[in-house]
Amino acid sequence: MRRLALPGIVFATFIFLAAPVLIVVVASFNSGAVLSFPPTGFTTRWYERINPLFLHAVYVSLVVGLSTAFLSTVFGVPAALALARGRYAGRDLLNSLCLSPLMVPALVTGVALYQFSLAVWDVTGIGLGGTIPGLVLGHMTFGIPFVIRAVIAGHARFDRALEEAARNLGATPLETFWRVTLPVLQPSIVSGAIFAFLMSLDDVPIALFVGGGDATTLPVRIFTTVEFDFGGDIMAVASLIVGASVVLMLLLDRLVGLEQFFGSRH
Amino acid sequence: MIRRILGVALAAVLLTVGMNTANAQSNVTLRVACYGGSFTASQKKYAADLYTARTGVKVEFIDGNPSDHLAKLVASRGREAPFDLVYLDDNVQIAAIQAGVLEKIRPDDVPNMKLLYDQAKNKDGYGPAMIFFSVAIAYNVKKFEEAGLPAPQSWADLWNPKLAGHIGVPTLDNTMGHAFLVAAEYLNGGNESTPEKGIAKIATLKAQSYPQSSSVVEALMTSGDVWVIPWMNGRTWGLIDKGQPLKFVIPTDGAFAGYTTIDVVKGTPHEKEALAYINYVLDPLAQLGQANEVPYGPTNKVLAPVLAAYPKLAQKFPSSPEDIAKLRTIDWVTFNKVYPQAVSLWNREVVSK
Amino acid sequence: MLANGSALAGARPRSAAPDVWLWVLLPTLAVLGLIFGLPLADLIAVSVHEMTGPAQVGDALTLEHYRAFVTDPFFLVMVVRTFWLGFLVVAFCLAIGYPVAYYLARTTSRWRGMALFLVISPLLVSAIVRNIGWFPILGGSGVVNWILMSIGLIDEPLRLISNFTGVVIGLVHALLPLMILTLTTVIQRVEPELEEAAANLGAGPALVFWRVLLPLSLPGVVAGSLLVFAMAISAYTTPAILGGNRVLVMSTYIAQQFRTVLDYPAGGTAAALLLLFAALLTLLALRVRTKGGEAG
Repeated sequence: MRRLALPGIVFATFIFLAAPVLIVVVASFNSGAVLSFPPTGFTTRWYERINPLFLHAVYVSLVVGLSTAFLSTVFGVPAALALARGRYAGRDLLNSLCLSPLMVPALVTGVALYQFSLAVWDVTGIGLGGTIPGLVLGHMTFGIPFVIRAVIAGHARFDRALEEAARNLGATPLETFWRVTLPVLQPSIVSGAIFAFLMSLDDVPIALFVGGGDATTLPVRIFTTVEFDFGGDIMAVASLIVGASVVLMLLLDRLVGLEQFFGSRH
Repeated sequence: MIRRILGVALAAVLLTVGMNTANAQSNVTLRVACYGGSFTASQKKYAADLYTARTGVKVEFIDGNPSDHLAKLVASRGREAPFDLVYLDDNVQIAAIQAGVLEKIRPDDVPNMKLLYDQAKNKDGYGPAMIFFSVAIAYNVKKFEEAGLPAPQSWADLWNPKLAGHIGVPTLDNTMGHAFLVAAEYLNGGNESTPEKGIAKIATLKAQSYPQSSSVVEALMTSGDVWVIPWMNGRTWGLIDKGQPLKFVIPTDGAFAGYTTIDVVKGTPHEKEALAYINYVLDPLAQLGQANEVPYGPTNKVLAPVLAAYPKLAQKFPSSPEDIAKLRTIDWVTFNKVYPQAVSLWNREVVSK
Repeated sequence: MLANGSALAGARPRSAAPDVWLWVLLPTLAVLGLIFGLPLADLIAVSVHEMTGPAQVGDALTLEHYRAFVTDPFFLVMVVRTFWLGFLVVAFCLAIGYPVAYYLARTTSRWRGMALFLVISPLLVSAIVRNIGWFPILGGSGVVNWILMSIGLIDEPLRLISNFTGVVIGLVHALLPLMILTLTTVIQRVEPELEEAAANLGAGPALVFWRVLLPLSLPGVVAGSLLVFAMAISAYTTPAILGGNRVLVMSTYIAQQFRTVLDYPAGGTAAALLLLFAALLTLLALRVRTKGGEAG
């Protein structure tokens, strides 16, 4: 009985996690009213009707998401190490500050960034509003904290003797970092980068204020579209993202093995 | 039928334009703040594309809510405008005028202004209304029959105790919410200056929820949680056309008028091009195309006889001079003045109850 | 620089190299300060000015907005509601997420990759679409009520949307991925041999969990909880849609002030206080952790 308890809980949780996603995928093939459940008939017409604007928005979202994940990792990993290993006054305060962007409603960050982009324009003549670099900078505000938090968690129980051993064997500090520190932290770095990517893919308020025009992300396009026509095509776009991710995951799993990314003790 | 006529007309116009002005060129790009979705799509199809073909001026749409556009305009006050033109709801336009971010328009610069209904013209010389819409009652016919309820006929009918827990009330953040608050104010012996009366009245409704957007209303109507809600004609007809068992009723004490306006933004470097664009938006062809794709009423009165010939389309929005004259208008200046107090009361008396 | 620092800190007594790591931290702090701190400070500064019109403030300084906020029981209830929501969401995410994370950390199934993918799948669907996807499930005639009524557990449909319950369900669902992934990376670091050893010494599963697993995975619990808490108290879309605009929390109030009332000082005041309270709580959580010896 006890042997079954854990798989039971896990299975139930997976159903909970997948439920609304399944509803969306089912709705994208429903020929009746979008949210009627159970569905009334099968159709693929929603997929044929996807507005090309959405495809461009998918492209913008992917570029912004990947750049955000990459840059957040570059800045987040050193900061996490510094917060986990350093012994200095005010460390907890700095630690808390590095989490603060997540505590502010994204709308506030969006309005603040918009005003700030205007001030930057006044001073430097660099216009960040309505551009992809502007969006990436905006999304790094939450991307960096995600990476920092994930890596600090993964750093617990880090065996520092490994690094010392490498140093004693003659590795340079840089080699030690690349060959010892990073591989050990890899699972948490990957999960931090995934958080940054997914949250970038999910953000509306910041992208609404910082983006616009050609720099319109998918969630913003969906947000401004559903008000007028909430149809199967929206569900189809959302399902395409899920489908593409499944394919990508399966490919990665086949080619390199997901264990490479998330790490495993086994 | 009307779809086909429109298609032929549009194709003909584009073709002649293509032949005559194949070398119309300009390196100006107009940035236009719009709503998004099919609204932007129809504005692009019937106004912007034609405008670009004739003048060479490119048009880029920036989609978002009117209030978000206003927030951007206010933030960039005194600097270069974030866009050259902006589509707004009428009450947001009033706030934008007060904030000083819009430019006045001389009717001579926009010849089509002469063809508009008087109600569509701004008294103080700002941008005109490009469509009319109405706020009335959307209800689920099936649910009402099942519950043995008579169809709602007046605003007061919504206070039927049998609807408690099944009525949706638009949140005070959107145009429908504003209009319904005014309806409740008058029912309770007040007017636009007495939000406390309307809010006390709404608090007795025991609403199921206070939806903000049409997609949520659609979800609530489909799941059967909400049977009736004060809503906008265009969005309700959108749901009816999708096969939802809804009806849109104009209450005997009157539906409320709403306008979507189009304005030139103060500080735009392309005022001339912006004015020319507005003229295209008010053009009869663009107006008819808009009405056909997103069912809101044209403000160009030339179209009244055309629409009268297509009752199936015309029933979806205020389409005749009589319809338009019958709409109840809201004193937005007074309404906006007490709006912060209204929201505060709403939070305390309605949301938290 | 970086590796140098790690080597130094590793080789010497801790007190001797206090600030090398501060230099490592500096670039990130500078970036966050520039893209977040400065813009936010600039925006929140309006909260100490008089409002003179929609989205407009005067020059005179005033603390009136703060006084009005902290002396009004209505706002205090709203603050409590916000943080209560945060705590509930964290508690559910932990309770549901820990077993799943444990399973993911320990399983050798070839489906582990797909399971990890399932965990993050809620975040692949845009927040609006995801939230609307809940209506056919949680609505009055939705799947959950249909099942519960068919098996005779309830007579009247339960109310699972347009209220506080709906917000909790939606947020737990959306934030569970953060909790599970964070916990998984930490739990897989805990050697299964430790659990086996404890079990061999006669400890029951509950005791093994309580005395071995939980203490060793505590950094993950803290990190996951901090992330989920921060995201829950600042979330806007889910409270607005699944709460049916009946659940007023700090973020929905702030959005209302910034987007529709255009009362920037009021919005700025609430944002500043939310940040202050949340940062204090975080600091408290980190302090408790630091006392335990490890950075949280």
